Amino acid sequence: MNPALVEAARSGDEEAFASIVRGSSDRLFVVAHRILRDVGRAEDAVQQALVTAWRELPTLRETERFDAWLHRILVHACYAEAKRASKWSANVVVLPIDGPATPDTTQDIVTRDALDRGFRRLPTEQRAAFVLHHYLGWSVAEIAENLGVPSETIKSRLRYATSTLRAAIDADSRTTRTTSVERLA
Amino acid sequence: MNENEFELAARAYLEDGPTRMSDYAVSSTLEEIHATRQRRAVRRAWWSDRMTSYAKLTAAAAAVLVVAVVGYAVPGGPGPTKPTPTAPPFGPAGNGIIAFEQLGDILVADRPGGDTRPLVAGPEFDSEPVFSPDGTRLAFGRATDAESVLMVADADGTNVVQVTTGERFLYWSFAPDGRSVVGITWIDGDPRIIVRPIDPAAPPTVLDIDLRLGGQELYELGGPRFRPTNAQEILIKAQPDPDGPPGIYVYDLATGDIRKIVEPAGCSNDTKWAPGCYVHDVAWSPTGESITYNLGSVPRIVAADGSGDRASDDLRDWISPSSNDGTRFVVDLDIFPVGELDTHPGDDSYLREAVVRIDGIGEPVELACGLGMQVECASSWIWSPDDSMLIGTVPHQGSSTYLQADPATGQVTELDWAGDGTPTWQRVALAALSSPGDGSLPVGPYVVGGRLHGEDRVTVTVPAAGWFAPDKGWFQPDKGSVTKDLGGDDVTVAIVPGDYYTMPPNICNWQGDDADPAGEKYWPSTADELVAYLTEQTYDTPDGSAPRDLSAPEDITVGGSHGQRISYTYPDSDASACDEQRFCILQDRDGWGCLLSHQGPGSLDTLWVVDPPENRNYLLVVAASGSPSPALRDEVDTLVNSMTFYNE
Repeated sequence: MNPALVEAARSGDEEAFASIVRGSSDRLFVVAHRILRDVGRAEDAVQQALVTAWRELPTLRETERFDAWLHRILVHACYAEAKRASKWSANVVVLPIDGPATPDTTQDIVTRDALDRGFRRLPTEQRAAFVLHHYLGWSVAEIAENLGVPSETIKSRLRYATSTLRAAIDADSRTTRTTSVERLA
Repeated sequence: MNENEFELAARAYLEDGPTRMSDYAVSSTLEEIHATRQRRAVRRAWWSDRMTSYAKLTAAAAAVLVVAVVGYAVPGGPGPTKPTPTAPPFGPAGNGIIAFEQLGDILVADRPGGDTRPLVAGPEFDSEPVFSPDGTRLAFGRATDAESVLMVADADGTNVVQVTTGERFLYWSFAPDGRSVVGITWIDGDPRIIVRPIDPAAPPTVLDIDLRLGGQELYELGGPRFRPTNAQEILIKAQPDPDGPPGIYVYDLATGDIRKIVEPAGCSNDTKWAPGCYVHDVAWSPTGESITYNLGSVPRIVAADGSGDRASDDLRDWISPSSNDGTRFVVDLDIFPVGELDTHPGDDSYLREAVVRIDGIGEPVELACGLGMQVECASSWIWSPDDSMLIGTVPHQGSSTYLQADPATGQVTELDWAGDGTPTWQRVALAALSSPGDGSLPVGPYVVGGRLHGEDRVTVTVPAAGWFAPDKGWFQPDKGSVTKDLGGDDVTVAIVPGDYYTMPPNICNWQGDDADPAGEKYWPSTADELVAYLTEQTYDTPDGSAPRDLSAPEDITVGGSHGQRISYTYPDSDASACDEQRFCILQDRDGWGCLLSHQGPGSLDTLWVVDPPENRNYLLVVAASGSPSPALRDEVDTLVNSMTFYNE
């Protein structure tokens, strides 16, 4: 993130912040979508996060932390969006709009479906930790500091997210193997 | 699927999906930004040491005003009467209410699975409640748009105050008395440890120690922690010497003194990440008498005064805090490590948890949860204040499921609660609240705090008025003791904790490797053996070593078990040249700490040693020390002879 843009925006330059929005919205949207698994909610969360960042930017004293700070606001917006959704809507499975870039093998499809089922069972906090770690490549320490929670909490969230997803894959692979055996019999 | 395959699959899954926000959403966002006014920055000058008195007064007045507004706007909820006397900050206590979050409100229940009621409810989004160690206050986070703020209320939900104002405040924890919190904040870009009183009118204290940490190092700091026994000492990891390595220190709030605990030898700032130099995961023991930490990958333990630093193999990866009596914790059993899942097809017992003892004695108590069982295992567990129950949290999408477990049998049941996040359990005084009013114990049965070696409760019958349970101690919350003070005629009767006792041959030179070059240390397993060896212990005199004066031992029966009672006088020698300037009678099984020492000249000390009930491995050792009159001595006899120990 261009520090000069952040400084200017912090001083009230709306055009500078608009540049920040155009340059970061896709990146933020991807993170929000991977957490919420819903395009509409992800766009709502990103919009809320950017509006909040604009409003609160003068209170940010360390401009070099802008990116981490913005991601924290985004994650909080995802939490809020998830809670709003859980109050008002039933479980609706949303299929991804874009398919994979390369053709899938049957096993890839099975694994991805299993991951998707497992991922949707995760609470939002675990999803966020998983996305920040495995998609953005943040370390446990970075996630902990940027979200303002203890590193032990992040470790615990990652551990259980991983366990749940692996269990989902494992359960599916046993079903697949069983089915294959039955077909052969 | 091995770890690498899982990592690749997870990454592919996360990369799969839309990658662009719609043009309409971006335009809509820019329009809303245009319609939104930026917040004005507020200088938080009251942190600064350079502030003028006038500015401080203004800030304090503003803080009071904020409190008044917040206190008016936030409704409190019904709740229990404030507990009196307050619970000790560590060790077992009585079970108060249980609090957890539900959809942004804080709910409470009187027992696991009991009916819930709101404690803090309103339009704000509140979460992560935590009771103070003494059970009098409840802290929780309140979400604002950009940051979270820390709120504290009385345990009944009243008097809600805002402690922080949106600035970063990480790794915080309560003082034992619940009157302040300590954490890390940033001042002029530097991380500093700050103690924030719950009273917003009281100024915070910034510790005068440079953490000299930044970037990745800061996150390894962990949280500064008050000592469980007092609100004066704070355990910290810091690097005061820029050229030296990070170390462990205890900061005294009253004096500003910094006591060194550990500074890895032969290390420097350049080598601070080397295995023999890297200090991390620093914590007080449950009783505050020692400090545990990791040096590289090696867990170690050191006394609170910095002595006796040694490696320990008793520290493992816990998924719960230790029990309040410091003897047990919950672990993942990892029956099938992740990489071996493929070799156990169809086995769905892959997730298993158990309660284990810290000292490794006995078999783990497996919890009846996990894949294939009727309930899932929890991601975290908390102990009831009296250590008789566990509550586990199983997180799900949008909410959590709660479990109750019996740590003695492993039975697990699902509770009829819906909430989010880890609950917190209020600690209240173990003793009956119907006290005479002066804080003394009522005449009649009294359950001594804690359990003998995590197993048995001990009760005594308080024989007369004037007996008190101290509010601090090293093992049990009341030191496993009762005391009576009649102004010069006093006595303290204490249960001496210890898994197994060792006895030094020489009670003056009792510490360290040179204390027992001939391997003569004694490990009594019966009351008779312990008392017999008392007669063989010696101390140093100008004429050589000599045995102490001991009374003839008497056979006794306590709680239906055989025992012996013996009295002894203070050795006729100067203890100033002894280890820790005292004569040590009993040590713990590792032989590096002293559990029981001779009291001062003029003190009449008596020891009761009792064999345990069947199937127990401990000795019950009770010591009475003081200068009791004959009448008071009779009360002591009555009290000790009334002792019973049993397993609930």
